[in-house]
Amino acid sequence: MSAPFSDLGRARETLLARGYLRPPPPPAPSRPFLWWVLWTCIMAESGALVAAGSGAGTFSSFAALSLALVPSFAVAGLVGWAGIKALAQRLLAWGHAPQSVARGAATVGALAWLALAVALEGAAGLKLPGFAGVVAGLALGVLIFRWVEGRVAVLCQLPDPGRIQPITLVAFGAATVALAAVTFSWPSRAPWPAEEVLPPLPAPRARLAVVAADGVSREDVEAMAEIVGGGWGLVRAWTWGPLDPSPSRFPAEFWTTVACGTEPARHGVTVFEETRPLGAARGVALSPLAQRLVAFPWEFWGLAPKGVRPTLDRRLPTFWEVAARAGYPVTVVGWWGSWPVRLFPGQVVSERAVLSGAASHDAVTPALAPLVREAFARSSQPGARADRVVLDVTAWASQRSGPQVLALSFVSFDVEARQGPFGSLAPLGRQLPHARAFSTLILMLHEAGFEVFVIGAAWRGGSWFWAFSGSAPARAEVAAVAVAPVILDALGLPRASYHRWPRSWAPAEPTAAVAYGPPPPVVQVPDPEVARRQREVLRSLGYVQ
Amino acid sequence: MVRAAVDRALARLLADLPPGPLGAAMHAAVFPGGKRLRPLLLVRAGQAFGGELERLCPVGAALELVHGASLVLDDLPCMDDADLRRGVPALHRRFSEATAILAAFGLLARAVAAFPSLLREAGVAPAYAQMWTSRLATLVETMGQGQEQDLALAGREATVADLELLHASKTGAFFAFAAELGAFAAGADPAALALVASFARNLGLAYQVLDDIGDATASPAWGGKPAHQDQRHGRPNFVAVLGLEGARELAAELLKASEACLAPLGARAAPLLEVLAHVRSLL
Repeated sequence: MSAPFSDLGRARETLLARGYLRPPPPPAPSRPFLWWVLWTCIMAESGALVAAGSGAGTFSSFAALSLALVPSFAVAGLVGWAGIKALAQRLLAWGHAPQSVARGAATVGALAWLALAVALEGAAGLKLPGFAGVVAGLALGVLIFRWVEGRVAVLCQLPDPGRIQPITLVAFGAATVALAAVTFSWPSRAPWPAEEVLPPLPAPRARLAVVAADGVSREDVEAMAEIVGGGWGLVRAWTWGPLDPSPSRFPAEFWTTVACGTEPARHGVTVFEETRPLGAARGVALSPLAQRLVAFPWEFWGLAPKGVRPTLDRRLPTFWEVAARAGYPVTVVGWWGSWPVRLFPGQVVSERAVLSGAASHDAVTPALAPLVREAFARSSQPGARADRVVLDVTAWASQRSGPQVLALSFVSFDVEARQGPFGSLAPLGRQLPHARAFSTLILMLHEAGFEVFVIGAAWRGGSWFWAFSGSAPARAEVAAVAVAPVILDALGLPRASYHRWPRSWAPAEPTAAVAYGPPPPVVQVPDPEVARRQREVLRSLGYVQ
Repeated sequence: MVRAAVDRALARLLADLPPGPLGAAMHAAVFPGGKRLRPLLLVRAGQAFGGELERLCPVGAALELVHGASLVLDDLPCMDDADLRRGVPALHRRFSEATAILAAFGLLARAVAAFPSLLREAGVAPAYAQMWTSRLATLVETMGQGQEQDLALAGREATVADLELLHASKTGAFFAFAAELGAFAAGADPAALALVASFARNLGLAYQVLDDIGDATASPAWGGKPAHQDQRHGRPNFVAVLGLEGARELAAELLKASEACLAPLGARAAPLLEVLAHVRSLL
């Protein structure tokens, strides 16, 4: 009965360890402002990460985007939390159990975040920077779930869970590690191809023109052969086949795919339009939602300018750059993705020059600048100007005899179609002058002794097609990525290691694949103001909203 | 005043008892009753946050039904084998073991059946009424586990940790439940609920230690229970582990800690301090 009195000390220790003999610790202050700031920062960075994706910008533009998203996420956080609270109170009033309400509200919060992440992503098909980005997004979803559940529990007068559960710690660790890994390993790009020492390439022997017929379907060829005849009739008579256009989301991406002979993920041109948050030097491509979130607080102050992304991201050479290395005289006119001009032995009138009349060094090589100015001086109508530039430059290039390569983009059909109601060649009256110009171009090339390869991009409906004046397997389907090796074969040049042949189309003289290395450097990186002006031009022509 | 109101509420809850021994046994299990400490704790906790006596007492009465049932079961020969309860023969001695068991189940069933509507009448929203009813069911199960541990410790040397675990499953759990529910029904916020729960846990343990002291000293304050029951049944208690003086000192410290838990509530704590004073008077 009489146990030693000294046991009282141990008893105290035991009871203290079990929460007796002292008041409970004071509840942690809720610090709503601190939580608001913290969540805003975390979500802004995560949102920027998801929105910018990999390879869409530099670290500094990513950091600027994070900052630019802060006001929108701050408002979104307040609105979201108010909505969740209202939902919780409504559910309680309807008689749902408080624990279920807390879990339900937490589920809504986590799903809202994931939905937001999905909506933020998707600009030009950019992917999250790999596994780390996905882990960060999901872990943040778990953290949001736990946080909202705890807060709503308190709101529902449930005891504050207080203790941090293991899954919360795991999610916090995963989110931290993933965000840090992605942030500090930025940018995670595909490797740039190394400079290669090329084997001796065959001497130039072909005289080839590749015509990019933007907005022209096979059905248009048939119709115009009847209405206009001339060059259209020639094209109809050539060997032709269907073209598989995928992937083809916007002209610069598609025509770069054609010119490089590989998928966008590999050639690198995946972005048409970009935003420069807070005036960052380099823009980032954003989904429509992300654009709105950036524009909401900053557009009024001119701190969220949009611009067209110059194709500085291109990692592989085009067929005309390969041809130039082999010694072919090369002339490029209006090919989407040829802006800015690159430093190689050839003449280029980029799409920027053809559409806006710009004659700066980034837009056109000096020898052809006068032709551009003259064409724009003679006409005020965008389609007619584009026709004029193509015809004048072709006439200029055709004066040179012997082997050469022309890469010509005939954009006026597409430009015209974007001005009026949808439908191929509508309205016909406006298209007829361009149809005649196209006919003239084909006849001009034919008379100048060019083999002609026409690629029809039926953006507005109808059949995508290719047509070749030389020998080719009839009706063979060609994927967009398989056009370049066909062209190189016609030029007598080996294909690149990443090229693949169309089915049913064996090369005339099989040669070993060659690694052509990276593309030539650009002559001049366009400044952001130029990109903004180019976007305005394209917006006026209906290419962007 | 609380006791009278609780008794009235109990009478209403037991108004339609079945005729015969079972009904009589159920009535005898709660009348004339003991200190009504659990309903008192619930009511005072509610009053601390502006709750009304008349709305809280029926809820307290339902808790008293549960408490009464637990005492009937505790006294059974297969459990504590107590002959007396509150100065009169234990229920199984007055009726039969079978009747006592059935009466205990009847009381539990009445309490759980009436609980949601009593909570709603006390101003608890339906969603929370459901939640607290579930918690009451859990409490009954927890008390069962505590009793099992109690039986397992019989004849064995126990530590303070064993006794605390036992208490936390029985008296402590019940005290905390009663106090927290009273405060909740009156609209206390979660931080205040935590304070009240902690107060009740310390108070409950102090009450248990005092009960052990009363058993050892045959104190008249614990009248109605035969003295030295724990020693007779070989049940460990705080006096056996800490000695009489040690147990008294521990009880005093626990009561002091209870009071400290209420300090942040300021003047609102007055009703609960009244309960504390009542328990302290047993020291």
